[in-house]
Amino acid sequence: MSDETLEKLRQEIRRGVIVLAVLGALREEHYGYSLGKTLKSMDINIDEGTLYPLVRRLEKQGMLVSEWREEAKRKKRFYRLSDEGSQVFQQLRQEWLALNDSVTHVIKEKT
Amino acid sequence: MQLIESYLFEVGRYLPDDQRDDILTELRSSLEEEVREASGTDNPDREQIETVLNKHGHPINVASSYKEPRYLIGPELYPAFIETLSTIFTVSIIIVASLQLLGWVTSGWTTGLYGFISNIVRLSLWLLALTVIIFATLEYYGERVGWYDNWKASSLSLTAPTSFNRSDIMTNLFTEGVFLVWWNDVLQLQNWIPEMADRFVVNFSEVWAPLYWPVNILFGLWFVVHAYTLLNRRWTRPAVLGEIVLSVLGIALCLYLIVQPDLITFSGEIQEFDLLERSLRVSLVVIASIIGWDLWQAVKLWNEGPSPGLQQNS
Repeated sequence: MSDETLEKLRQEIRRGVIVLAVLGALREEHYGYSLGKTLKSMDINIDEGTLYPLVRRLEKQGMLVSEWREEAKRKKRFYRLSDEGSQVFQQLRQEWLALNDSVTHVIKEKT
Repeated sequence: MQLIESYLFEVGRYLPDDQRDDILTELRSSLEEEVREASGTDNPDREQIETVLNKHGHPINVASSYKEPRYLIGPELYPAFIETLSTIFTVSIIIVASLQLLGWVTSGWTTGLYGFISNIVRLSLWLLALTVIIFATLEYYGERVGWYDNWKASSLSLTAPTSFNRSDIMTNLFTEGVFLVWWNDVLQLQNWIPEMADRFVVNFSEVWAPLYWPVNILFGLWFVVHAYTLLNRRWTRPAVLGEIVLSVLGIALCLYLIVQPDLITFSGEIQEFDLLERSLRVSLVVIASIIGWDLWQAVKLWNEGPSPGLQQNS
């Protein structure tokens, strides 16, 4: 298998769970750059070109609320989960945990 | 940090007006912090800023990531678009070609070959343009066609997929079209080789005269059966039956002609008249054999038959 194909498959796997990771991270307030850093510190690398627009889309969908504030003399937009976003996150979390169990069972090493 | 402002200006050129300021303010804040952290200073040099900007990529890519993906005709509508285009192309071109052929038979050759091709091409372009406009409008307003929602497995045909050979059907259609054009005196051999036109004249004998309309009808029906099959993308029972009947008639016609004493009349400088006559008879044998092969295939298809359930329905 070529590296290119592997990379595409890897991206497909990641694409589905990025939203869950972002919602999870935004249970605490973050602005765009700090959110990226937080996810990166947990070995979830999302490039900025994906992360920033995703956060805006989630806000548009009502999953997040945002607020412009000044910090260190700079205007920053802080995001956090909305009430609706919290409910959705809990449902997605349950879904993910169940799916994770099933997939782990399917792909476990055969002895 | 002027380099960041230049970058933001370029990104902003491709952003929607109502979101530009908001997105750029947020992006500026993130870029400045990223540069500061990467360089470890409040006054980074050009190279350090460029490194961060290179990581973000071309301004168009950055701007486009903030937009919802837009298509002229998106993946959900595309299969219906191709299906529609294919159907209306086939139906319209068959209707126009048939009308033109009918016009030639009844009123003579008025448009010429290039006129005919030009009409077909013009019609195709109009159909393409109209279909694209309709589907692009549906896409723009987010409409979806519901043709496939009520699909039932009972609509599936039991005819083996290999029984339909698109190349064969296209070849048959082409051959029948060319034959009808030639048969109705639209194309004449002597016009194709004008330098020989004054040296000899070849005509069909009187044997052919009563066959003018039967041959037109036979090949016209063949054309319709094959066009119908192409449109359906499979052989239906009525089409197979039609193919069998027409093939039998075609073979009978060839055999009738082969046994006639004189098929052509000839005058001119060239003396190999018998050779020409024999060549025509051999050609008729070859044509009868080809039709015989098609007949054999059609009979096999007929014997394979649909399932009992489909037979009851038909």
